[in-house]
Amino acid sequence: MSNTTESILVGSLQKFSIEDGPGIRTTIFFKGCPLNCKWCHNPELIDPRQQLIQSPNNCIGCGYCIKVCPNDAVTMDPEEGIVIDRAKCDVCLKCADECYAEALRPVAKPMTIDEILSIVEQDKGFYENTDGGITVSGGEILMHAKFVSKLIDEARKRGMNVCLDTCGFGDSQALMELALKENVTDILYDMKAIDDKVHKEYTGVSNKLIIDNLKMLAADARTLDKLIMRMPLIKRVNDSDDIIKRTGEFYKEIGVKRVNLLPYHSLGVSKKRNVDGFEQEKFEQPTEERLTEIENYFKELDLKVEVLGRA
Amino acid sequence: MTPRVKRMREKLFNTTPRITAERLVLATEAYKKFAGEAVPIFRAKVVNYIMENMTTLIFDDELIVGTATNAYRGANLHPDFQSSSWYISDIDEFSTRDKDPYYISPEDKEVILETLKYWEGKSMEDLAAQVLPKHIQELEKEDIICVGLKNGVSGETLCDHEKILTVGMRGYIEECQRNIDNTVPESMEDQAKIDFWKACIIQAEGLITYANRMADEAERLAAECTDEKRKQELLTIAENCRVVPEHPPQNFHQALQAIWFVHVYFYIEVCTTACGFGRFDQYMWPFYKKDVIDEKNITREEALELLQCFYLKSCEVYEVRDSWYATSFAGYPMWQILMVGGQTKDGKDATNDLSYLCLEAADQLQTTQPVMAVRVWEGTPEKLIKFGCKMIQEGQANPGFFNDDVGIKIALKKGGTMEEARDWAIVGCVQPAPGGGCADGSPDAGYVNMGKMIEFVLHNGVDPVTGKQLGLKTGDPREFKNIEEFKDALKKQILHHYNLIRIGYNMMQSIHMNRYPVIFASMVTKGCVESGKSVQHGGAKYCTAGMYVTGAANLADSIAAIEKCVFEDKDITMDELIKACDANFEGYERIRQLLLNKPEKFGNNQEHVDSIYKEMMHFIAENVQSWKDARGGHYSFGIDSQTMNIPHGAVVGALPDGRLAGEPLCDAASPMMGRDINGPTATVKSVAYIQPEKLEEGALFNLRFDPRGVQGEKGQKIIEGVIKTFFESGGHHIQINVVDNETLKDAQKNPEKYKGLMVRVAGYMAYFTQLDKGAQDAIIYRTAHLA
Repeated sequence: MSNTTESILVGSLQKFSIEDGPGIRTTIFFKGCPLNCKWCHNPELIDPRQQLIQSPNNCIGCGYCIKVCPNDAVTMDPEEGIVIDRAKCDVCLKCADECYAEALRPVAKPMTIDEILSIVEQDKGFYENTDGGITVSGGEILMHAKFVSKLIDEARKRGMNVCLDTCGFGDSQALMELALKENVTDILYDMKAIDDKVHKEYTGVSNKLIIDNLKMLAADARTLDKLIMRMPLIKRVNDSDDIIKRTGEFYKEIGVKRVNLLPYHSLGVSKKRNVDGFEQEKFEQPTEERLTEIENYFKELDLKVEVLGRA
Repeated sequence: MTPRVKRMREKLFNTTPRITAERLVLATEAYKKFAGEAVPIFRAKVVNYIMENMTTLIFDDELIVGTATNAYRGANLHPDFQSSSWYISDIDEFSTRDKDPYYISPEDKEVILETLKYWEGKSMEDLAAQVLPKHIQELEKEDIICVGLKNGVSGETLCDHEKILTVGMRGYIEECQRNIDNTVPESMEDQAKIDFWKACIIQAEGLITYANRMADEAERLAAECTDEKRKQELLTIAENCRVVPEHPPQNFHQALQAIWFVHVYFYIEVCTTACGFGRFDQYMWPFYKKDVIDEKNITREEALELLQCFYLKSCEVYEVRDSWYATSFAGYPMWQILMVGGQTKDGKDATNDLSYLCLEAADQLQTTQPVMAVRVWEGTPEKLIKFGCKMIQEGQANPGFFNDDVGIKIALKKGGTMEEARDWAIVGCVQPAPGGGCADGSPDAGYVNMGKMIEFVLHNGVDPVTGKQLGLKTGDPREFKNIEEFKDALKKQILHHYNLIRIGYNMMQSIHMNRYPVIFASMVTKGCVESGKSVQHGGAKYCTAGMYVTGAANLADSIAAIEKCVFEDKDITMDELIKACDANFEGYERIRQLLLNKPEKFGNNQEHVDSIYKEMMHFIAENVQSWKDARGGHYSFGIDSQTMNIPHGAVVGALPDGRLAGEPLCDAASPMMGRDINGPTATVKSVAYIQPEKLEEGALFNLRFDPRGVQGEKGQKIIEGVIKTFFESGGHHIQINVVDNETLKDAQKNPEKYKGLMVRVAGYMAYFTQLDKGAQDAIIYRTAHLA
């Protein structure tokens, strides 16, 4: 029995997700991630706690947020518009309640399994007609393994398949438990950098646990074929011949067959600024030429390659 | 495409439609000559005179012949229906206006102006202006309602193609003669029947005469022709014209020629539109099967070329509209729907090789006519759906898809037998009707502007734009205690206006009965020859008259907004809301943001607002569909705005859903532009949720994808999955544009680069660059779903 009263912070339920696994899917974004990738495209989902996020373009300058803030954390700057002093803000969200224009809003919403699935279930017909389903993503799902496990079981009862989207940095047993579930059909497994030095520098953690967990899943016939390797491609960070070659060889060694390549995009930059006021470092996408080279390299290794989000 | 088809297609794209004088002159001579005859016979003799005298034109390369006028891409003026006053006042504007322009040569212009003198005050349109109650006319003038039939016939002829191909015109003539011989006219009714049958004979003979004159012309050209191949083609054309439409066709080529002669005759006869090709792959199948499959008289490629020649003919016909109608039905629409797929009368899958060939022909040609429609049911082959999805994915905006299940249910509701229901076909643009050529589904009884209905309730019947008391007094909304009272007031306003349309349309129908029976189109519609009555007199086996709505989503969104923000959460008072709307939200931006963002909006799979939408539309349908019309049919209702959401939106002030004054209303049954923010699957579920099977005219649904969202094999599967799930959820019709904003915006700036860019407007397609800026913008505003 799942505890239907237990709720979790959900960043969003994105219907018609067509790049997070096969077919038409709904992706559930949980909040909280143990990594801190410098290029993170969902930086508002790193902190496991509730946060206030700004959408400055929506602001109509009504100033209600300034009036209601009990901590005087909101001010109006003639140049910048509404400025939140994050040191003073205790995320009481009173400003967001008053912000009809949705220029200030909570990053996430607490939801129970039932609430989540009742929305997800609306698109069941689309999943069935396209071999799609649910994708659980984040943040990092392994930070909420128990909740996710219950959610997957409940989804199974309601006849829906699930795809895991994980960075692999978490408890091995919990990961294996999720991966083995019958209605988990695919696992999107991140491979940010095979080189541990690079990995540490750009994500804040070593890739040892990630690689070990991946080997574990690949070694088990029940989970090997579910794996889809996802690699963000960032110019001059992880697109060197050396890294690509080592990655390919590693894939061949462990026997994975499907690879997704995700060229970097800068959507995270403004979100980072809007959620905590900090500037995210800007990266670049590898050139179209280089992308094709990398794509072909993996193809030559007999891997099924898909480049996502290509402009 | 063969070189011939390529040349013909090129010619089409490089020729501006033109208005010519010939039919006008001939009709005017005939009007003077035959005055005094009984009305049906008089009208038949006028048309017959035209057929005896109009120019016979055969263009280079053509294999199917017959034109509506004496020019390529020519359009006729019909001053018996449309007022000579605007023909005259607009004559210089026709060629320069940005909406559906027509070229007129200086010589033709002179003749037209001279001839039109005779027609002053004589048209249906002039008469309508005299007899329609002033109040109705005022509401029309302010774009609050519109009443059909004022300046054209009901159109939407869906004739009995099968019978035409089985008995030929000679068969109809014999049948009419038998009926005359067997009737002793002892009453006015019987005499009227005899006059009708005699008129049918005259007009059937008129078409035979024209066909034989075309044969003469083909023989003349053949005699002069030095190219042996073309000479043979001309001789075949001549032979075909000697056989059809008088006699049943002997082969596929002749069958196409027969259907074309009948079709083009509709446009010569009267000012009409929306004449569909019905279930083309069914009635043409025996001829195709015999020629291509069984006897191998022609190859599949040859059949394809003939079919494309036929399609190209359908691009040559027009209905000239005044500038208001050209705005409301933008892009020269003719709604010539050609259907494939679906079920046979006995419930088996009807798809055949011709179904595919029909799609292939359209896939290569990429012209706005004919409009392809695919009927989908559980037995439809995967391959057929996939082919359609491939065309959609490539951005062709063609075909549209129809749910057989809903089509059958609606055809049954309209009175059809189970066999006729399974054989259902579209009349107009998306309206299902019992099949077999037995339905007269007059479109356009009228439209009601929902934006205005909301404004009337908010102002106790006063139009805030003109300040006049144009609506019903439904009470001061500030006194309303709950949303139910608000909805009740709305329902009163809405029904009141539909009832005014009923009155107006019944009056127009009665005038048409007495003055404008359409003889030929009636003859080929099942039920008319049998009953001795024209479609105007209710002669067709099944008669309905469609009423429509603009701004359906704005209505639901506005109700939901008032319910949430005024009554439930009490964020604002009714008084504040009214003031904010009256001020077009100037100084009330915060309230506008509240109204935009807090309440649910239709199109996001949110049950509450979707159920309001359904409640309101079903309420209108249940009432309207219980009303009788003047010819003994009944009114039917559907959600379809064409492009009238633009002129109707232009006169509506700010609404409680946050829409600003003057902006277009929502498009047909689609959500308000930009308010469907949960992706296409949510939109699709909302539109299916409204149960279109209860709406006898269906629900026209436009969906747009950004091409980046539906690339490759996966993208094709996604389009297919969206269509299938929409139908499984009860949806009726879906048409999909796959084009991104950048392309559309670039096409606005550089039209010459995008001559062939087609978009789905309503139940028809148009070349994007031929639409005026308002219609173009309204398409750009439609949410482009990416991911």
